[in-house]
Amino acid sequence: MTKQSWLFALAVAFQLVILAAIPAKQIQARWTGTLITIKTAPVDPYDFLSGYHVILRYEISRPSDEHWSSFPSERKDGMTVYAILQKGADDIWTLRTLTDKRPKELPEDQIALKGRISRNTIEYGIEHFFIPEEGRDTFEAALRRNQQTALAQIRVDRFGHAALIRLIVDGKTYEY
Amino acid sequence: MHSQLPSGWFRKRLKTELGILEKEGLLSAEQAAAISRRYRLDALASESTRMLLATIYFIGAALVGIGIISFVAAHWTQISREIKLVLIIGAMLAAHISGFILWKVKGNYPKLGHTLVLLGTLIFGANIGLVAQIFHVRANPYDGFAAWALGAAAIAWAVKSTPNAVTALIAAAIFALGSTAAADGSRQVGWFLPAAAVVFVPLVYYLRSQWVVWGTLLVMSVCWAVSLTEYELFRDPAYPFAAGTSLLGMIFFCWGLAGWKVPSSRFLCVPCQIVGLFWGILAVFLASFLDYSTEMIGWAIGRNELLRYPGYLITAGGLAAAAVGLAIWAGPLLKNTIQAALLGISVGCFVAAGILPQVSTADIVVLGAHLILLLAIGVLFYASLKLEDRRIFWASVLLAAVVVLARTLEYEIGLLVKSAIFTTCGIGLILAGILFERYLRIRRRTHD
Repeated sequence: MTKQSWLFALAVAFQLVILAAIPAKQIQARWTGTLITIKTAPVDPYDFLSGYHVILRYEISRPSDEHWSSFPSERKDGMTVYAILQKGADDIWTLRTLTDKRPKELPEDQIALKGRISRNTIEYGIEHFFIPEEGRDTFEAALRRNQQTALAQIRVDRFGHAALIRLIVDGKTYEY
Repeated sequence: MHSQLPSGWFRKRLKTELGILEKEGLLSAEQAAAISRRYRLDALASESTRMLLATIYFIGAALVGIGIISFVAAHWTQISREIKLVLIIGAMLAAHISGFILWKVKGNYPKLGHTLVLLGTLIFGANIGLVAQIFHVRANPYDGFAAWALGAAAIAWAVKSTPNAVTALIAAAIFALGSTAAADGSRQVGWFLPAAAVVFVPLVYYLRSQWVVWGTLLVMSVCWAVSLTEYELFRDPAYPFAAGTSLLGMIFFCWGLAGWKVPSSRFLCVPCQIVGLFWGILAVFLASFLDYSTEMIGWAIGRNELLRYPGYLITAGGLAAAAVGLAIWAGPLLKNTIQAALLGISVGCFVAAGILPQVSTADIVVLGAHLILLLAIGVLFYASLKLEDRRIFWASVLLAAVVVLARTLEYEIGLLVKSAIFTTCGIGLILAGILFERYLRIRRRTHD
């Protein structure tokens, strides 16, 4: 191979690395993460379908004042936060506490989910779900009717990264 | 010796004109035949056929390609995630590899090969969005353009491709412009200019393309303008914008000036000096407005506003030092009166718009700005006479007209006075043009 061939191969490999880096955290979470189920929360009914994706919110996205009062640091936009989730009797995971550092060890029924503070909410990187055009109307209608009971199944790896796997609305599973 | 043939359009016109010139007796049959052989005019017909076939093949291939894409899109939801990835990455690799082989390995279809490599880069850009969609990743959409710019720049380096470099520049400009939407303190935009310089300035020297030079100057200008909005303080950026753009103008000008010293760098001198002067004169033009100057004074260092943002001061200091360094290195070139005068204008713009507002009142800033503008008009006019260049002449006239128009609209004077000013300027413009053309004719006759 000539020098130029090597350079070109390197440049193409660089492009492939960029493409691999985009979903790297999601892929790691999908392959190595623990599957958990969390509840979604109501969203602005006029805004949650944005283009080709659904904007989701979760119960764990808006911690209560009680949760924030136990947060060890001063809250700032853009700050990393770890939400410690606890598995409930119905297998739904709920927010137990918030911390600014990833815990080294947790009991089996608890898991740390990494997020970022954005205004008064926490974003975990699982707030967007791409829906194909033909499924959007059905999904939108189902979500509007069942905002209080819609569930999301996510995989969370040991670093707290999460990947959104599927949504369960009105007994129907949506996975793309 | 075979030199590159001119365009097909020129050769077709030449063929037509040869017949007319031969008929009128201006060319003999042997001369016409020699010209015809030189420009391969007899090959025009077969070239047209080949081009028509190539166009038909290209349209056919494009339609097949669109058909395949539509078929895949129609079944996209039924395709598994893994197959989707194989398809989109496979398409990108197929375009890149086949293009490289046709262009650089076999070398028999260089244009087609280059086009395929560019297509691979375009598919890469689309893949960034598709991969994000497949894995439900949604970040700031403009970040995708940054990634696209880096990938395109890598290919531009690897195969010395101007189209890929231009793609990278366009993507970088979109990324920088889009980042203004997020310039709310949560996003660090101060590194944009150094990053753009690191990525694109070496490409300028490597590719030696005017497209890349102009594109790089534009991208760096956009990045600098975006970084001036980084801090909330600069949300109302009268002073930082004027000071920042005049500083950027100064460094661009000095970069172009220094380029004259090295023969291999002369391709970038004119664009750099033009863009440099433009930014400097724009900044000082803004400072010539009393209201704008008053706003600028409001951010004077006496209130210690700038000292709260050392990052900005360090970057600005670095740029100024680089400009000074380049000017010193270009030292011997300043024996050229015009270059020295233009450098003086560039520095003067920075002094009037960048330094003066720190230490004086709005009236002094306005006066200084007007002095620099008048000097700029005078220097450009002088340069146009010396170099016998119409473009520089009209640039000086345009600048004069803009300044007069701005003052006429800014100051509260009667309509009658405005009418007199506009009429006088219009007549002056026409007379100036006539006199300049006469001057050029006299100079040409003298040379002949």
